[in-house]
Amino acid sequence: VKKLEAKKQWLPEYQDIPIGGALVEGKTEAGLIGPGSFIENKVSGWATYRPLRDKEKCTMCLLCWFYCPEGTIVRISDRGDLMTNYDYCKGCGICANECPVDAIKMVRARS
Amino acid sequence: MKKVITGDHAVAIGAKLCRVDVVPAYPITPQTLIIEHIADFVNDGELDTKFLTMESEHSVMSAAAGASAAGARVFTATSSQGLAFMHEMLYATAPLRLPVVMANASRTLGGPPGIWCEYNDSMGARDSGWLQLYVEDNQEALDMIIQSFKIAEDKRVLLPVMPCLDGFVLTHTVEPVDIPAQEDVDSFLAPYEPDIILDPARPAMIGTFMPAEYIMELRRQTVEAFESAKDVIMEVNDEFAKKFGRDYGGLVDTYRMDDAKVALITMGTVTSTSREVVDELRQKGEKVGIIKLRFFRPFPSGELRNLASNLDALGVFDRSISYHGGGPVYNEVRSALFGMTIPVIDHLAGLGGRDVTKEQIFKMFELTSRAAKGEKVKEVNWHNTRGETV
Repeated sequence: VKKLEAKKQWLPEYQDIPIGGALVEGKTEAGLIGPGSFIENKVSGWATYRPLRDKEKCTMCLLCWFYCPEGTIVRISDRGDLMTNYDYCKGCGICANECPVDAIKMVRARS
Repeated sequence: MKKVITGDHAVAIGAKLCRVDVVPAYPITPQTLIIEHIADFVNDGELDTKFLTMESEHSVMSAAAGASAAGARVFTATSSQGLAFMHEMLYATAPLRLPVVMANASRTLGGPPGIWCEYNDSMGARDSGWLQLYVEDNQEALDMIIQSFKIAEDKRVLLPVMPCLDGFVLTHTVEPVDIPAQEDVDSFLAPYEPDIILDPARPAMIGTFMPAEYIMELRRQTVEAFESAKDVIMEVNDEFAKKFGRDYGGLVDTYRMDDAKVALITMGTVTSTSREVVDELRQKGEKVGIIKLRFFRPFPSGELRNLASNLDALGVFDRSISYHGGGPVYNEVRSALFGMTIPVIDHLAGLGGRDVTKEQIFKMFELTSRAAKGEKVKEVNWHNTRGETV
């Protein structure tokens, strides 16, 4: 049985939290805080579904790339292809909904 | 320089003297003159301010919070329904520690709709985290705009402040007001220099989502700021008195309280009428005095306990009603005086802007004095209300 690692947390006392919760870039034991922190603090764990793209059906119209609210769809220019960064995809399904040729299917994230 | 001006004009001049950077505005009676005067100052080139005409009061407070987070000194004004409409954003401004100053022209909050003076608009915001104060005359209205910025922007406080002035009784009534010189205000009030602002050159996050792991600590931190505000209010009052020669007493002011046995807690313009009543009662040998409650937030519990310790009875004037019984000031005072044995009598008067006359205030003192002698007096008294005898 894999032993659960103690979760690292940033739990400052009330005197030590920045006034009003305003955060600048900073490093804590639990990871980054402030602007840019979401690069390190991955949110893919939120996803119930994730998008799977059928390359045969895809016409490279780039609507999914435009619509993705998190910018997780990356254009790979030298191959003329697209790639989804699953570290930051929250599984909202907007790309699948917008795809005009139904090339994107949402599948259970853990399957 | 002395000028004969309305309360709204005095407030606008106060904001101008503070060199406010941003004024998001939306009109509402009886506050409209304030933003109209500021619009005039901007139009005439007397004030270098970003004047924003918004589509609602909710937008006004949203813009005010945003501008303050970007480091601007922000002023606005509202009243009654307008204050109610921005209620949600009041709760955003204070815990994010954005030192906006907003004058509130006290006015009946409908329904039924009314435009005259009542405190039920601002009382509803008492737990929003804003500091709240009530002024007695137009001079105090101007002076407290200047003091409000100094209190709000103090690093120990960093909370928004809401100076309230009685609708029409002050807002539309002219009085001689001594207008401080710009250079004196400049040397009293330094430019606002926040530590963290929204600036692309120095990225920061203000008002982000906070999980439960942090919110209790942030609430606790805001309560600390409220406590510090009491000291800062006194310091600013003293510094202002030294520089401008007008001492308002800070959290509370007193009138003929030295040997008083019966006192009335007043707020706003009714204080002036009460001073006359106290003078007349003193001539008859009655030991009476006034405690003018200037700041309702932070609530000066310790100061009131000290003042009440020599009294036989305490009356409370309330210009709004909490529907479960007495007025909000009465409930706060009783809570502050918990454990003390003197009778505390609530006097509801002037609701909806009804005139509060000397006769009514005599009656308030009479009832409170009877309670002091051990007579049975109703705890909550409706003055000048048809069908009710006090």
